[in-house]
Amino acid sequence: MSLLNALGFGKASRTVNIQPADVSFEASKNKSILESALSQGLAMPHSCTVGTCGTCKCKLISGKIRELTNFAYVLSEEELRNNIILTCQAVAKTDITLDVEDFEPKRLNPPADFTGKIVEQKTITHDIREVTLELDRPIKFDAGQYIQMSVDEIFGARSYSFAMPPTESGNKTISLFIRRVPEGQFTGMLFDGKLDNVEFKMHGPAGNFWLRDGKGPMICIAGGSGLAPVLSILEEAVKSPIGRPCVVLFGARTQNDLYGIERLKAIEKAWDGAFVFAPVLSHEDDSSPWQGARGFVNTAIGDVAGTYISDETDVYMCGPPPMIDAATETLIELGINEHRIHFDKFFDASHGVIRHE
Amino acid sequence: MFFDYLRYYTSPFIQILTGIGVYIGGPYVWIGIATLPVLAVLESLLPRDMKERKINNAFLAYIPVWISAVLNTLLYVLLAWRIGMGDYTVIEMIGGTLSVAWLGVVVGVPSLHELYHQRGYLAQLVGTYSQVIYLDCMRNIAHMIGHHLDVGTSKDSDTALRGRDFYTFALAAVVHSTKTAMELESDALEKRGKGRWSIHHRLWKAILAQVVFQGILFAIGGLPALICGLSGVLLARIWVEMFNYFQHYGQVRLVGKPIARRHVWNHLSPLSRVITFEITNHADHHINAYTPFYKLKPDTASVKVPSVFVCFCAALIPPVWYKLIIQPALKEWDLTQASNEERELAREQNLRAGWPDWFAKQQESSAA
Repeated sequence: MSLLNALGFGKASRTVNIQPADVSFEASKNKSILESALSQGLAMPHSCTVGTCGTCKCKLISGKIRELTNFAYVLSEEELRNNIILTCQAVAKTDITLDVEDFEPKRLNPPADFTGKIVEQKTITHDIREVTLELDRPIKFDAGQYIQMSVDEIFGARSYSFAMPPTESGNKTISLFIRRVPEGQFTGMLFDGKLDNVEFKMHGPAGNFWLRDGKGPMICIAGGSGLAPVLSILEEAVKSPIGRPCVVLFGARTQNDLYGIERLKAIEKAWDGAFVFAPVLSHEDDSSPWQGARGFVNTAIGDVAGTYISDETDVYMCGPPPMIDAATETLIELGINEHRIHFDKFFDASHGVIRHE
Repeated sequence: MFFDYLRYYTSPFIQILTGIGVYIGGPYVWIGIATLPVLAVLESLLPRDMKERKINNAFLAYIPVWISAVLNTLLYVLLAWRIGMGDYTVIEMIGGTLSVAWLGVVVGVPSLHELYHQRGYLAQLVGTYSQVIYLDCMRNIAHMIGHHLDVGTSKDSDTALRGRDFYTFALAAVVHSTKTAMELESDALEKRGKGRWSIHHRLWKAILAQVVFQGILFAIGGLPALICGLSGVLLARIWVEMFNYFQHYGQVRLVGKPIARRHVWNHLSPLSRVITFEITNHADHHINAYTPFYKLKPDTASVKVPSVFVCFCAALIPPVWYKLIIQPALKEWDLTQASNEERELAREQNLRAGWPDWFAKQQESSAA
């Protein structure tokens, strides 16, 4: 390290090339290689950022680096011999080339056309079914997204959220929660078994309802069949503990409308952090022994989730549009930032299948 | 925005005030140490500061950090020079040493911590070796390799078990962190094919730095200055553990589970944040150690604890610390922040410490 460099003179940055992706970026000499990559939106593997966990390990193919902390504290003798470095603790002294195998910038899966057939319909409440479809090939999606389905006989497409978390290689079998809409043409035929052998046209994935990076508490509010994307997000989140407190409010009419409880309990058991599940019933008979919250779901947010309201709380909502509107108003009154309230506009509009029928 | 840059000059201001006190002598030598009770009272009257800073210029933001980092050491030099003038009484020497040592802790630890977490060569060098003022130039080894990985778990020497008083904790922490640093350094040398105690071991550089530092104090102020210098850094070495004590006390996390915001305490009183260069605005530092001090976002959902100055005083009196400060905070943490697995660990620790079993009480009340 020359004195000039130490004092901040000389060329300001070095070029880092990542193989085999062949992506290049500029690394500042006052930042670690990892830090420069992250600041340019490149999703380099990392975790602790202090040179301990080893998540950012990669091979230096060419060029020179300066070690911010001695790599030998954490790397093995063999790794040191093989030019393995920690990008979180390395500054590029020259232009360098790195071999980072699992380098993959995060992006959503582009939608495509599929075909699908119903393989199973399972009744989960008096008016909601879990419908399993077999697609012509696996679909890759992000937890919380939805898929559109249509049949030739009926005009327009219906959108339903995936009611399960995605797998890495994509899912050929998908499940959706579908509520029978009173006098609805599509759901009427579906519930009557008239679409059992029909080939659906499917298009997806779509939607902006997916789990955002963040550190604050999460509040999920579901109404009716809107539990599907919430389960999808939570079951995905639980795979890699994210350490955030989570409150799930589930709005339903009566106890007969509650479902998915076992899955929520499994999530609660595995959740890394506080997890509060609160069903809220709006039309439960006064004489029933129900001890949980009563009223419309928005009226319970303050009591149930009050402790977890901060300016970094993220809210995920899915349910009938009137529920979304009422809950949004309540959440804003409680001090939640509007831009942290997530729901899919399109999803909401089309989820009320009524619009098409 | 201008005020956001300006507020961090509070620490250099207190350091200069302490320096003036040391220079004038008499009762004024106590100014430095007197800031502890004064700030403790003052901050108890102020509401928590939950705001983010509006700072974009890193160069301007770091000026007060650098000033404080340099003044830490210069205060010792000033004290030595003043003692060398020969008119200081023993009482003045004690007051001056306490003042300088205290500033070395409350401003020294955060300013040097901020520098050694930086990626620039000069910042790392100054941040590491200025740690002579608390006799721990190897501190960042255990801090980065141990603490940042193990925080909240039983493996972390900086996280005090529930029921442990400050005095027992501090001695154990000094021994543990020193041993960790020595072993890590020796292992690292061995992996590079060098001797475990070769000349490249950071221990030798740390000793050299301390000898040079104390040598300068001796040359300027003679034997009394050397005694004050050694006493100051020894006292500070114990005192710095208090930061760890109240920033991590009683926290639990399962080994291997990711570190979340909830796994540290946040002291968000306005002067605590400013004087310690946001080290007490703590959650995001453990999530991303790269974040510069002025970009740390206060965890507004965190459990409320008093200012660092109140904690500095309370930790000295264990019953006060347990009953008034940490048990109420841990109770809230256990019941509203901890995961199910963490609740089990927490309950075990509570029972072992002979503390009230608030989990049982919660079950009773929910059953009722």
